[in-house]
Amino acid sequence: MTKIVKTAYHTTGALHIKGDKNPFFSKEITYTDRSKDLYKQMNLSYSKFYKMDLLCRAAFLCAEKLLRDYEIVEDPNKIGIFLANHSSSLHTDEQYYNKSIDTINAQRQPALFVYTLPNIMLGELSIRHGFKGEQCMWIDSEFNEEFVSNYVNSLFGTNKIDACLLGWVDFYDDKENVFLSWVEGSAAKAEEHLTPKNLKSIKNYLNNLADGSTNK
Amino acid sequence: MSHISIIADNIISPLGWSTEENFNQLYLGRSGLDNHYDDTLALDHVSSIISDEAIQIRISDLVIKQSYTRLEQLVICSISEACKEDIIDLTSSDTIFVFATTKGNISLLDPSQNEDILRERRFLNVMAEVISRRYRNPNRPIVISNACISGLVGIITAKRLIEAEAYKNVIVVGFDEVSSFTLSGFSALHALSSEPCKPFDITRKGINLGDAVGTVILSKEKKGIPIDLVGGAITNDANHISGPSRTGEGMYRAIDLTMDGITAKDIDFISTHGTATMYNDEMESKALHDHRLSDTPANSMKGFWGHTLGAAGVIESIITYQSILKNKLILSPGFTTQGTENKLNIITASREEKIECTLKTASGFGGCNAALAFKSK
Amino acid sequence: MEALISKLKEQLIEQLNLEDYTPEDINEDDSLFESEMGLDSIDALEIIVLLEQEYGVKIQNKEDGEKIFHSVRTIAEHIQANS
Repeated sequence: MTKIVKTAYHTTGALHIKGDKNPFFSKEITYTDRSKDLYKQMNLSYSKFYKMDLLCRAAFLCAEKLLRDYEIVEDPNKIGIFLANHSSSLHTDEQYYNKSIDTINAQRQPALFVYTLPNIMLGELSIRHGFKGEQCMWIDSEFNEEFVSNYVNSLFGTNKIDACLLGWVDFYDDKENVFLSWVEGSAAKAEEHLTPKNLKSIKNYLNNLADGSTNK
Repeated sequence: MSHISIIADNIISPLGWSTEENFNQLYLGRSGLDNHYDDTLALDHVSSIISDEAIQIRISDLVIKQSYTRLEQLVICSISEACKEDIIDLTSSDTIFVFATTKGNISLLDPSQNEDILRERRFLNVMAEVISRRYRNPNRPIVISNACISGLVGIITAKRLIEAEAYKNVIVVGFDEVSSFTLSGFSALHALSSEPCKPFDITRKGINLGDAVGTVILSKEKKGIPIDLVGGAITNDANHISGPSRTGEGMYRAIDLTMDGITAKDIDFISTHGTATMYNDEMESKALHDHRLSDTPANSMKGFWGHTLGAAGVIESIITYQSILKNKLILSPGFTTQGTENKLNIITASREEKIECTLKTASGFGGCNAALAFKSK
Repeated sequence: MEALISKLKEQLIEQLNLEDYTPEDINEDDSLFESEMGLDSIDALEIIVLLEQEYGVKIQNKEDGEKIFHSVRTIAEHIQANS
């Protein structure tokens, strides 16, 4: 029975797992600064972080929080990553467009162009954590818990994956909106099964955090 | 597995408005690549671009009332063509759209393009909803944006959805258009060739870009062409975000997982990703060599249509299984001299040949790889 | 030459987003691509852009770039030889 082992949330400068006694928090005004502040607070040492665009940083930081001190035993070839968002890589697309095209001082930006695809964050997570299995990036108005739950469960059921990272990673208008869940095929301890209902409560919890209507 | 049928397909490119037209042109060795000039970038480029006049003629046939972007018009033409025999009930909840694209309406970032009401369509889900609503489909469309493997992932996803009995019919549509955005980016990466691309050739210098739309309809309830989809796998190299792993291990594994029940000897034709960059072709030929597929006839179709990004996996798959139905091997344009350390059997002239099983591969930015096989039923 | 090397180090840090490095951390004779800075082919393209925009030095093929960019010193020497 597939189970959601744990979930991390990252929005409005906060980075935490539900029930954390000491969540990370940054009150910097821009996400460029928030993300760097959180990186330092977490005492991370991964110089590729500074090359990442803000969407990738949001995914990266949330995954760091989620998987910190967690021992993963599954075969990396059978660990998947399944992410969705609404804005694709539009934040970076617009940055690229403004710097490279729509300006008198157009400058070539090869490194920035690489980040103008939403699945690059799956690549960054794959490199960081060594996950080499099934993957997919979906674009939707909001997280589609029915589809993701059914699709991912069927991959477990057909033995294509033994564990996975799944979630919603959106970044646009300087707002990070992320949840990432770690799912295993046979966890003994977790309370939640991977079902549309449980994913929906995770989604709703994130939306409430983002709206500021939940006491953390 | 064997009850999934391909019941319709369509390809739109500068080489034609149907699968048949495109296949025939490819068999004859005709290419859609031509010299073009991008005003915004002041850049000469060799790309495969559908003429705006031809689009306008087709659109007027379809009586499109609402305002659509150029790319949306092409997508609608393709879906309508594929669905024209009322082949399935598009309004049924047992039917769903799976869209595959890398950049969608990215040309909308240019404020002088299109009216304000269309600007929301730069969000891929908005574009997808507008199109699926046009056909009054009640389901939320699935939109895959996974770099250059998107189209192949779309077909693999559709296969899985039907196998899991989630839907009875899935319409997969892969699409992308040439834009100043993508021309600029690939040029900045020194990946854009200034001449027609030469996959696997020793003088290859990079890619060309192309406009295209491909539609494939998979069904569980209707009988279609005598082709089975076999395997289907997606992997990641976990090595670099824009270059493939030198060992080709991700591609190797994707092919390995797809060849479940198939040996190298069973495969009669390989439709490679073959973008004509130094790295891709080197990596892909290594992965194929490691699977003992170096002697299997292989091509890249990038010399016909350019690299059509989100459409590539779909249109190239269509030609790949049509090759089985027609027993015809299509040449690999732009190839003269072996240019990879692991040599492949690149098809240099189109010919008739008995084909029963084919392999399609793809890889993309972000280190992703995908593979799928087709077999005669 | 020393002033150029010093300026180049700062510019490389900025252009390549090497935010956790200071100019003092970079030895001008160390291999840029084989060191733990982990520079890759995309960084090589960014260095090509830097040379063109800041110094007017064009590098036509990225393959040539990879040779010239062995170290900060070889980059500085190339700039001096070509401006």
